Amino acid sequence: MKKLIVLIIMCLAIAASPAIAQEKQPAADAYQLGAVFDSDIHLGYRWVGQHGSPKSGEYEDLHSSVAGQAIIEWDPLPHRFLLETYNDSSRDYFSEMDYSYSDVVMLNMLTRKFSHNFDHLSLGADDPATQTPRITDLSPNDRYTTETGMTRAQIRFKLPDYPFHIYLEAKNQDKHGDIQQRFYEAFSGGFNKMSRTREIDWETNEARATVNSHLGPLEIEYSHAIKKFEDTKSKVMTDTVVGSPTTFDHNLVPTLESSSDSIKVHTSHTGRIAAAATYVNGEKENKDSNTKSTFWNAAGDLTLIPWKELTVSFKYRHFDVNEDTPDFATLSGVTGYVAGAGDYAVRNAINYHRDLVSGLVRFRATENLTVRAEYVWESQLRDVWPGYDSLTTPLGTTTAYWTEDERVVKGTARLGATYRFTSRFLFRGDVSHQTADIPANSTDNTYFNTTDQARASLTWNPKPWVSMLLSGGTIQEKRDQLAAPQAGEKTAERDRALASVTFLLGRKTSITPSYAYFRNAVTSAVAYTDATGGTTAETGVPYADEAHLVSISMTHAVTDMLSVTAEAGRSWSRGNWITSEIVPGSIGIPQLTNLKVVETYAGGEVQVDYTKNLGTEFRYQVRKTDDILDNAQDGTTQIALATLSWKW
Amino acid sequence: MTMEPYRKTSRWMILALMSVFVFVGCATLKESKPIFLNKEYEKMIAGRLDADYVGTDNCLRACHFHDARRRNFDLSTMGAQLSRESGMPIVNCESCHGPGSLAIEGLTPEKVAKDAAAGRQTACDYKTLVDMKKIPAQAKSLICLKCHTANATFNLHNWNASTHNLSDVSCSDCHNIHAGHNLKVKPREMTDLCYKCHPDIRASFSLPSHHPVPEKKIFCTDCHDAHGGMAPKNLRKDTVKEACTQCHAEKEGPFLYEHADLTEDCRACHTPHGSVNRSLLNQRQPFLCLQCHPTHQLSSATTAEEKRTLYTRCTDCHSTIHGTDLPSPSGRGTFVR
Repeated sequence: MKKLIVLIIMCLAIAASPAIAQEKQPAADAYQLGAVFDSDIHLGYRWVGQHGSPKSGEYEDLHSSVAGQAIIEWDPLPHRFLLETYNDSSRDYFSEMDYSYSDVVMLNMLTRKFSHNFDHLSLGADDPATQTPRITDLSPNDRYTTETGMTRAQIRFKLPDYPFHIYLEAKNQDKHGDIQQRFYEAFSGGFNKMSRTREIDWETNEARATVNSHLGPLEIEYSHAIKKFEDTKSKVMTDTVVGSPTTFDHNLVPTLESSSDSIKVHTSHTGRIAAAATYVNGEKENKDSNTKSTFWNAAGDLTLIPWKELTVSFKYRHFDVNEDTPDFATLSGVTGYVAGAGDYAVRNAINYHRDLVSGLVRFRATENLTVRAEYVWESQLRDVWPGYDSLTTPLGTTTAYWTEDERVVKGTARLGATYRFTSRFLFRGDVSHQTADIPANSTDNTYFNTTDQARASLTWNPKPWVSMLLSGGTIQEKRDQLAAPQAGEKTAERDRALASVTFLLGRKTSITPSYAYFRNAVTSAVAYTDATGGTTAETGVPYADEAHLVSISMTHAVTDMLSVTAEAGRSWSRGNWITSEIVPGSIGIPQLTNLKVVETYAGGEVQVDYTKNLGTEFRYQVRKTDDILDNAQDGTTQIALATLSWKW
Repeated sequence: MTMEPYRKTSRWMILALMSVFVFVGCATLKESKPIFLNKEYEKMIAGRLDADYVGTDNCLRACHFHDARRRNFDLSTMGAQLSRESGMPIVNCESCHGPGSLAIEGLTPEKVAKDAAAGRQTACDYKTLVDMKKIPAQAKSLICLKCHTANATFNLHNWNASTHNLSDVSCSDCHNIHAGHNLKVKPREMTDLCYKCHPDIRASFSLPSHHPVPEKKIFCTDCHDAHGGMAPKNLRKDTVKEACTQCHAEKEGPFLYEHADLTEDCRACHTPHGSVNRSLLNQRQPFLCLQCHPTHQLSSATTAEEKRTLYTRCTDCHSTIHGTDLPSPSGRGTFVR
C-alpha cells in the first residue's frame, strides 16, 4: 500500500510540474480587457390573432402574452458568463447560458420550448345506413397542439495545462399535449375507421459521459451514453367495439431504453496525412415486447495532401444491426374476442450489414479552378430468412420470410468543379451517376437501377450594387422492372430551380426578390387487389407535385436611429396522380389524389433607437393558408410584437 | 463476504488513475505531432520571414482601439485570450495574422494619435501580414487547427475528410473569430449563416410542410454538424434514423413488428427540409404506399364510402406504421394496432 501511495504522489508531482511551470511564466504582452459587461434587454407584449385552421401558425404559440429577450455578457476574468434568452411566451422560448472558468471548467445550459398546432384530419363522412365501413370521430370538435421542450446541460472539465477533458451531458426532452389518434377498429369484423383525442406526455432522458485526451500523435476519446423514452400519460389506448363487449388496446407507445459506447481516435489534423477512426457499439431494448437489438458501427477516414494543390480522401463506413424478436406474441390487451386466442409466431426481424467505401480526389488546377472526383461503393446485405416458409398463427399461416433483396450493391461516380471566371463570377456544379445492382428476381421496390443527378449554381456580381444567384438541379431515376405484383418500370424526376437578385440602393437600402421552383414527378406501376383476391398491375401511373415560391425582402436604414425591414412571399403548391380505373373502383378520391394550396405571408419590423441605450421594436407578420380543395384547412394567423429595449 | 471484488475494482481504479497521471506528466505528449508537416501551407500562414513580432500593444492599443468591432472582440474568447487574467493560453493578434513589424514600419505614435484625434484609423501596411483572403481555405483552417486539433468536444474528429473541408470551406467562413463567446455561432444566427451557401434549402423550408427552422424553433445544427461525421450529409448522429429519433424518439424502436428495413432510413418516405405533402412525405398517400404494397380489394361494387375506407390515407388505419408491439387481429404485424 505504501508503495502505491508513493507511486501516486510521484505521478501527481510529474503531472503538476507543467502546470506550475505555466503559472510562473510571465505574460509577454499582457492585454488589458476593455468591456467586461454588455447587455441588451427587451420587454414587451405579443398579440396573436388566429382564425380557421391553425396550419397558418403551425409552430406558433397561439396565445397573446408578455414577451421579451435578453442578451447579457459578463466577463470578470477568469470567469466568463453569457446568457441569451428569447421568450415569446411560457410555451415558446429559447434560452442558452454559458459559463466558463479559465479554460478548466465550461458549462453550457440550453432550454427551449415551442408549440406545434396540428390540423384535425377528416376521416370522411359516415353513411349510417351501412354497418361497414363505419367512420367514427369521437372528438370531432377538438383542436390539437403539443408543446415540445428540451433542456440540456453540458459541463466540461479540463486538466490545467493539459488537454485531458471530462465531459458530462444530460438532456431531457418532453413532448406533451393533445394529438389526434387515428386508428382501426378491427375486432368486429368490419372496416371501422376511428379517431379520438389522445393526451400524450413523451419523456426522453439522455446522459453521456466522455473522456478525451491529446496524446502526442494521437487523440483518443471514449464515451458512454444512455437513453430512455417513455410515455408517462397514456401509454396505451383502450377502446370498445361499438355494440359489443369487446375492448381492445391499441397504439401502444413502448418504453425504450438504449445504451452505447464509442471510441474515437484521430491523428493531428495539421499534417499532410490525417486519419480518424470511430467504433460504436450499443444495444436497444423495447421494455414492452422484449424486442432487443444490438448494433455496431465503424468509420475510418484517411486524408492525404501530397502537395498543396491535391487532396485525396478515403472513407469507410460499416453499419451492423442485429435484432432479436421474441418467437411468439399473444393477442394481449383484448377482452371478449375469442377468435384470436393463442400464440402468434413472430417472424425474425431483418438484420443488416451495410458497408460503404468512398474515394475522393480534389485538385486545384489553377487559382480559380478546383475539380473534384469521387466514387462511392455501397453494399447492403440483409438476413431476410429465405429458408423459412410460413409461421402458424391461430388464424392461419403467414409468411416467415421478408420480401426484401438479400444484397444490393450501389456504385456512384461524381464529378464536380468550382470555377471563378472573374472576381465577380463564380460557378459551382457537379454531376453524378449511380447504378444499383439489383438482383434479377428482386422483391424490393425501394431501389432504382440508375440515378443521375446534375446541379449547378452561378453567382454573379455585375456591379457593386447588384448580386445575382442562379441555381438549379435535376435528379433522374429509373427502375427497369419493379417486383411483382407491381411489375413494370418506375421513373422519377426531381427538379428544382432558384433565382435571386439583391440590389443595394445607396448605402441604406437593399431589396432582394427571389423565385424558387420544385417539381417531383414519379411514374410507377400500382397494383390493385380485385374482388377475387387476385392482383392486377396498372403500369405508368403518373404522380406529380410542384411548387412555385416568390418572395421579396427589403431592409432600409432611414437614419442611424431608425431601420425598417419588410418581407412578403407566396407559394403555390399543387399535385395530382391519375389512375385509369383498370380495376373498377380504383379511381382516386380528389381530396386524396389532388393537392392545391396557396400560402401567403407578409411581415415587417421597425427598430427605433431613441438614445444610445433606449429603443423600441415593432414586429408584425401575417400568414394565410388557402387550401383550394379542402376549405377546412384554411386559416389566417397574425402576430404583432412591441418591445422596449435597454442596452448597458 | 469476500473482499476480492473490491480489491479488483480498487486495482483497476488505481491503474486508471496512474495512467492518467503518467500521460499528463509526460510533457512530450502535449505536443501536437502532425504526420508529415505540410510545409507549403505552413509557409502561407507564417507571414513574412523578414518581419518581427511586435506584440498586441502595437496592434490593438495603437491603431485598432477604436474599431467598431472592438467591443465584441473584447467580449469574445479571442479577446479574453489576450489577457493573462483569463487563465487561458495567451493568443495574440500575431498568432494568426503573422509578425507585424513591417505592417507598422514608419508609423509613429504621434501620427497614430493625430489620426485618432481626427477620428481616422491609421492605415498600416496590412499586405505584409498573412493574406487571409488569398490563402486556400485548407491553409486558413490550419491557422485554427494548430491549436484546436486537440478540441475538447472532439467535434473536429471527422473534419479532414468532411464535405466542408473538401469544398473549400474554412473555419472562418462560419466562425467569427473576432466575436462570440466560445467562438460559437449563435444558434439563432446559424440558420442565416447556412442559407448563404445553401439557398435551395432555404427555399425548401418555405414549402407548406417543413420543420420549424424558418420560425427559429429548431436550428440546422440540431440535425447537422458542419464539421462532418459518420453519416452522410454532415448529420450530427451516426445514422439518419438516429438523427430523426433525437426528437421523434417514440419511433426509434426496436419493435416486435418493424416496417422492414425502411425503418433504418426515414428518407424512404420522408424528405427532411420541406415538402408540399403533409408530414414531410416524399409523395402523397396512398400513392406512396402503393408503389410497394397492393391495394385492398376493390371491385365495381365498391361504394364511395368503402373506397374512401380502403383506398385512402393508409395511415388512418395503419396508424403504427413506424413499428408496433401489438399483433393485428389477423395475427400479423400490419401496423393497425
